[in-house]
Amino acid sequence: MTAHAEAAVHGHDHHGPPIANKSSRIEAVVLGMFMFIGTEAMLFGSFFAAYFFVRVVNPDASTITPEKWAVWPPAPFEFPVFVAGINTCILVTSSFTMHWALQSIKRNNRRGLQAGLVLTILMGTAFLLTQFIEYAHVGFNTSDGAFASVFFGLTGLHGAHVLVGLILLTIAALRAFRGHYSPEHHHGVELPGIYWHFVDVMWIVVYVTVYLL
Amino acid sequence: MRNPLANEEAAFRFLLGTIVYLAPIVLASWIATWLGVVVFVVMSGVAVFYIRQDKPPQAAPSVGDRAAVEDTWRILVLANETLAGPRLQEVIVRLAEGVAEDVLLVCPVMSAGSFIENPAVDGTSAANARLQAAVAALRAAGVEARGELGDGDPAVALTAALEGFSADEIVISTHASGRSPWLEQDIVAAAGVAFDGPVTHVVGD
Repeated sequence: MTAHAEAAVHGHDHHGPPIANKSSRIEAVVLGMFMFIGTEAMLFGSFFAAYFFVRVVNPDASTITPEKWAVWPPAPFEFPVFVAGINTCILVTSSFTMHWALQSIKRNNRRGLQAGLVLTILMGTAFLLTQFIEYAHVGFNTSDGAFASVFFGLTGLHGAHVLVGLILLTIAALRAFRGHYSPEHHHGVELPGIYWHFVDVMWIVVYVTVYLL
Repeated sequence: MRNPLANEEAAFRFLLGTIVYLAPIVLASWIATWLGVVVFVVMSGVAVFYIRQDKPPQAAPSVGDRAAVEDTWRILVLANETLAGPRLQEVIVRLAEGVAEDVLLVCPVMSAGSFIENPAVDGTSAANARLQAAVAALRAAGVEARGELGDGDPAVALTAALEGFSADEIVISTHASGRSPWLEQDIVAAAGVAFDGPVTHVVGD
């Protein structure tokens, strides 16, 4: 019996794969978000594990002045704490504009949505550009020791997340300028917004652990 | 347990919470390393306690206060499987005491296949049956109640209901924590953010 004939016998007129069964115990969206958080936690967690290993457990992995292991970063290098601090302020501010954008569309304020998204994209781009400039002037490279590798690894991993966030926000902004979204339907803005706040949270953790502590 | 990324507002609060969490740790560690460790432990304990905690139900105004505000006290009730449960009925009857009440029950229609025990259940029929039972029970108890079907997403159903019903108070009934997808969605907190009035959470089982 062919699939089509079998469907006809059973009274179904459905083509393609069967409709996915959904559990009433947990929403698919929530489950997906938990899985996303889990994968991201493991990804960043592995980088943080490498960072703490290099800094605390095995400071001699640094080829530069291993006797000064208590100093972070190893002398004579320094992290641009001030510039990164300004960059942190930019990124945190971008979360406020993102929040404003979403609150605006919930109140049917399309101009606010558009302005909020554009400002968020501009600040995210400024963050990335500043980070590239920071890389160019930081004064060390991955060949200067494990500390440099974990520094570029952690900040680069985060930078990649910012880039993904910017792509998502750009798509949302283009749709906003084309008249998409309404107070009832704005998932296309809400989901990038959640992602953007998550990226900001990860940067704050990176900034505090790598630059400040 | 709260889902810190349940929606954009929750994620934004998570960001602010992260700053509030880390700032004292950084300041303390600059003063002395051991102090930073102590503050880290304390702040981590506070953070875990906060994340594990469900939002406490807000105290509803007293009957006298409510009656004095307006002639009619409009109560919007959002519930699904617990709609016709005795606990929710009891709360609604109590809230309706001493006021001229107008109770609107909203029951989200779950899509076909949402019921794990019986995927063949028709969501619309099930929601209608629950609504009819709940409205009948409330009217029998002397409460002026009516019902309507809502979107399968409780947040959307709540927003849509609020557009057509100027509620003075919201009651949300769910299963207990751990069994309720709505609590995973942090629907009670979301309602508290979106609505200025009191939001009462009822655990209906």
